[in-house]
Amino acid sequence: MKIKCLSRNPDDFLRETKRDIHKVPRNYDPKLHPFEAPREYVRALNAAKLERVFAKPFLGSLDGHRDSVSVIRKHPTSLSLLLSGAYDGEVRVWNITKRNCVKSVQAHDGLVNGVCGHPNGEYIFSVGADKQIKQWNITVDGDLQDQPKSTILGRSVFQDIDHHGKDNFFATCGVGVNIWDEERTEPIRYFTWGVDSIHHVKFNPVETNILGAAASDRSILLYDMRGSTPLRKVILKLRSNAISWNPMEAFIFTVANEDYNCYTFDMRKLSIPLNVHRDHVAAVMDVDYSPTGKEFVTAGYDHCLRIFKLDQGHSREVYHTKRMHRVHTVCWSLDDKYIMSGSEEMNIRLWKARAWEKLGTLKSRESTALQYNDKLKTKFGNHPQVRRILKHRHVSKMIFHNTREIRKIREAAKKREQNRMENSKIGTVQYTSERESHVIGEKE
Amino acid sequence: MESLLVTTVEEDEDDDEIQPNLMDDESSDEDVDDEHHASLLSSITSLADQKHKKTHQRTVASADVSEYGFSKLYEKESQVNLSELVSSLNSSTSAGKLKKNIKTIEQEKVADVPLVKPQQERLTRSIAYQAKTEEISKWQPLVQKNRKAEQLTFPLQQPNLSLKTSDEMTKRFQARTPLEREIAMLLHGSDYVEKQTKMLTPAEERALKAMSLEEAKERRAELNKYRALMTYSEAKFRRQKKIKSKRFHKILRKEKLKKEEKELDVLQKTDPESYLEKIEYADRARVEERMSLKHRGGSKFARKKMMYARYDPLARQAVQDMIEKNKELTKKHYESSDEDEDGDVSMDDDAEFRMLSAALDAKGDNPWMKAPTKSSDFVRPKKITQVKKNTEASDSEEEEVLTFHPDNMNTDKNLLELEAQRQKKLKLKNKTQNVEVFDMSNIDSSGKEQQEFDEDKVDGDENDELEKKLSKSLKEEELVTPGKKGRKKKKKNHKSGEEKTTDVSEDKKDVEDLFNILENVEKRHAKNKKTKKETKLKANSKSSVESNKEENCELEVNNDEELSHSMTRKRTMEEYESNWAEEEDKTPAKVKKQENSEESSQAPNIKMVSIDPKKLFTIGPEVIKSTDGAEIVTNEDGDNMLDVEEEQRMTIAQAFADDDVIEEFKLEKREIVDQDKPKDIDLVLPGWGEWGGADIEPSKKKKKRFTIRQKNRVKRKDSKMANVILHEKKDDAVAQHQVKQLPRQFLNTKQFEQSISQPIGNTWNPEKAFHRMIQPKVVTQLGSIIKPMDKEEMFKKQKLNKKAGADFNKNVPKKNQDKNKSRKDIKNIKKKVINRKRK
Repeated sequence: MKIKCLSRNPDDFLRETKRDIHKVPRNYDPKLHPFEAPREYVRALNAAKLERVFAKPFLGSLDGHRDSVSVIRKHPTSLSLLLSGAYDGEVRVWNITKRNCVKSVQAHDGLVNGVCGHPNGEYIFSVGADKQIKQWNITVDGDLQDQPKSTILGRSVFQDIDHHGKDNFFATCGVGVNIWDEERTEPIRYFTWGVDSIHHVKFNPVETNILGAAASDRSILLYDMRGSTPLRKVILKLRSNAISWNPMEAFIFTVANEDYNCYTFDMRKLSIPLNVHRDHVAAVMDVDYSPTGKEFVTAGYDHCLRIFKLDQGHSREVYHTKRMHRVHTVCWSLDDKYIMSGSEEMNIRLWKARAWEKLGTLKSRESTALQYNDKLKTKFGNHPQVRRILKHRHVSKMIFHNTREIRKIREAAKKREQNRMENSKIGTVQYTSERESHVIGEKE
Repeated sequence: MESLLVTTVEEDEDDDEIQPNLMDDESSDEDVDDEHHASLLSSITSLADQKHKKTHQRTVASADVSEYGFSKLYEKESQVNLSELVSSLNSSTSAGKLKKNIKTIEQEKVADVPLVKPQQERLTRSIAYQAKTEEISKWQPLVQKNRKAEQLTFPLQQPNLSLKTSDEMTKRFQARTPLEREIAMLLHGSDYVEKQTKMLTPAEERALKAMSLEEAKERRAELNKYRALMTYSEAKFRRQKKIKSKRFHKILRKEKLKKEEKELDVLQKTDPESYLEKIEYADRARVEERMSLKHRGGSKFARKKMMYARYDPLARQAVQDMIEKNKELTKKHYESSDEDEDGDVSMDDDAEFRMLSAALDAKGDNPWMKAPTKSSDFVRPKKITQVKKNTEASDSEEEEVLTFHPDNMNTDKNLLELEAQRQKKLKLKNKTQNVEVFDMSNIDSSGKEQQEFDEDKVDGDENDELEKKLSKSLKEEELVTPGKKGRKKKKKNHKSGEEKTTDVSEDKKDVEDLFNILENVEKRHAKNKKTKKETKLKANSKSSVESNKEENCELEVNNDEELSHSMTRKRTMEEYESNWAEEEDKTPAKVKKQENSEESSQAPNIKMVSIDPKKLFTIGPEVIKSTDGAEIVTNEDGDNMLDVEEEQRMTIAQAFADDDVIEEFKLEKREIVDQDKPKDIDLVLPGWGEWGGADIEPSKKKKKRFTIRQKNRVKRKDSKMANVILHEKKDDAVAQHQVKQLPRQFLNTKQFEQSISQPIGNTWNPEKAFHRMIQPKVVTQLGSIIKPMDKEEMFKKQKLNKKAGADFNKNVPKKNQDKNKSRKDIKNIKKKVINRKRK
């Protein structure tokens, strides 16, 4: 007689070594798991809490400048190098990994208005209040020579400088925008549109011949380097402080405005911004895109940095410290992991781009868990409890109160507008959307 | 004129007023007055001072600030035409060049006045901006794609680290050494090398071109034919291979040998050298065989087999095979062939024949003992001979058994074996009896018959009578089926018979008779075979021929009996058939009868009248239904008085006749109220402080004491509302966690709920699905620089594609351009014509 009996292979349920992961046989039948959603919800809550627990964005500060930092720029080829200029005319090169200053030179008399690097990373340019453009050789380690390689003496003060993405051209601004060939001491092109003083200029990193500039007549200007005239001008209600192009979407750029907001524009339709990003409670001084083009960071006069998503109106993150003053300049590192900010109180600060992210190598299980948590957070992000935890930020008293005040002002304005509409003849008072309301006009 | 100048300088604003006066002055200038002149002079002298003053004076810009009155130029009345100026030229014959120039000037179109600079700049700016937006818009699809991408891995332009395929390598390969070059030449220059783009090589193509379609078809058909033949022969060989009969194979082998001999004969005539070679080879083999004891029990294998031979039929067979082999090898080939040529019966053939006959007769003496007596003279061990005997006996016995089954007569084994024998004997007869052969050819019926025939002959013409009978019967058969070859067996004959019946359906009886005859014949054949076997048996028992004869007769009688039996059986079958036919004939009649039965309801004889009870039942309700319908119809038609609404109300009332909604609602409410009521808590412990057990109830006192009574709560809100249920249990704790507004990315709540209810954890999902679901949207690597999108890289492919497209479309735009040109030309010509007309 044949006896039937259970026979199992121990290999199926025993692990060979202690480090092996137990093989858990599972039945995925949803009938057997009636509490899937609640369990995941709890996990999401925990993930959200953990995110806040691990959110420690501040990595360190680079101190050494003897005056407020006016400008910081990334080194185009090295992740560990950072260029900075200060109000006392000093240009410094920093090593971020070592957190030290590699080199400092007294580059200009008066403040350093702009610094930029050549795309091959072999030399850098600086402009100052002394009407000079200086070219410096820089080594791989970030060492500068004491004397500039070349100096160009301009007729007026250069407010900013930016280098072409590929070729040997750079642009300066001040009275109009000048395009320079590196070989020549005279600008190869000079753009003006009436009488304007331009304080910020930026090359498009994708369509490398297009420039954007912010002028003090509250306008944003677009230029084509190869053309003879500017392309277009759009005037906002207040002056824009800085402009930054999206490195992944050629026609998108964002401006940091004095009216506490940032505006994202599509180059092809300047009459209305794509998005209004607001959370700052003071003027936005600088803006820089992440290299992935999905987010950007802003430097605020309200002593904080904010990180915005491209398609969202409010910031996902606010970075501040007790000692950080007005942030003049900010940049996002080329590997999308760090943010650097230069502020009034002479410090350059290093932040994580994602506050809760664990830096360094991750084990596969660890990374899987983190990914799962991220997914849970997005999935349950609309649930009030999860949302509350994820949104909650501790901000300084000043920001807290100012935010509240601004909100009140906005609400009042809205109410006023509504009242006006209600109490006037139909058609006389037009409704203007938030996006429309900040643009005065587009000039051809 | 000078005064004019002065006045204009002096009084700028009221120039228009003054000028006509001046003109008047000029006209009256003919009578020059001294006074005037003096005043003029004084004014000129004072000019220097005034001029100095005036230069400092700012004037308002206006169109007509001109001392020479150029401002008037724009006024039509004062415009001077060129024609007026050069009208004098028309009359003069000289200055032809000037005339020509004027003509050309008149024909040329004057360019528009250039726009003001700011306007001009605005235009250029807008044009440049338009161009730029268009240029930058080509990024749109890429940007959209990246925005929608499930996952983006940065840097976007990853270095290509994949291994190169052999194809790519071969593309890069260049022949350098002379050898390589030569090979390359061969590979690329030859017509016989296949190319990737083409199916056929040039040589093949040429060949295809050379061959016509018909030829190709013919050739194909031929090839098909050969293929078919090959398959047939293959199938044949496979079948033959499967046949287990040793005898059959032996015969086959013999045939083969014969054939070879024949071929040898032919060879002798045609190619004596090769013939000699073959002979030599055979000789050599023979000599070697004679030398060795390999097949004569000398080898170890043979000795062993001989030992086991008594018990093992396989061993026996092996020994026999060996001896056969020996015999074959030691046979003298060429001598026999020589003798054959002479026309005498060869020794070997004779021996063989004898051996075979002995084998067939199975006379106890082993054929392999007898046969080689002439060729080989070695003494075989006795054991084997005995074994052989036994085998023969057993074989014969088996055959006996087989013969008694008429079906077994059809087996291939017997047939083939016998056929082979027949052929052999035919040869013999060819030499001895020509008449007989003729007869044979005449008869040429089934192989069996012939065999029997031959066999009988060989046995010594003992069954003459039988033979005659056979021939007669065969002739009869031939009469019946003249076209048919007699190789068919009983079954086949049956078939033919049946065919006949179908063909000749009129005289069934005759055919049946014929069948009977046929069957008789067949049976007889079968019996004859049996008799043959019987004779073999007889031979074994060494009985006389006469007895054999007698037996045959007896068997014949038996056969007849059997035949008659079979005939009856057959007849029954045919009867069946005929019955069927009859039934077919009858069925219409039956139907008719059924029809009749419906009317008369008689016909007791008919059994098949099918009255379906179901039908009977179904008809009833149908009828009822129809009547109902009719009623309804009449109602609808007739009673217009009934209101539609009333009807509806009625129907609704009918529909809800059973359920009392109000009562149900009340019940429901009561239940909910009861549920929500706080309940008393019973804390009685039976058996505590008193006796306990199965039937013992705790005392009332105790019950009263240990039940906690709930106080009456606040009245329900819906206590006074009879038709309302207000749920007072709203869980605030849950509400805290619930989403209040539908998130933007979802269209409806259902979608959102689905997205939430679908879990993503690995607790509820297989590992792979889990990993797929938790993929992050953006992947970046620590320490790798993410460069901005590179225009050249991104549009490399597109450019290539465009180039290809441009090459393809090159002609089209050209044509268009030409067209445009021609259009322009036409326009210009038209314009010219119009201008001339105007002139």
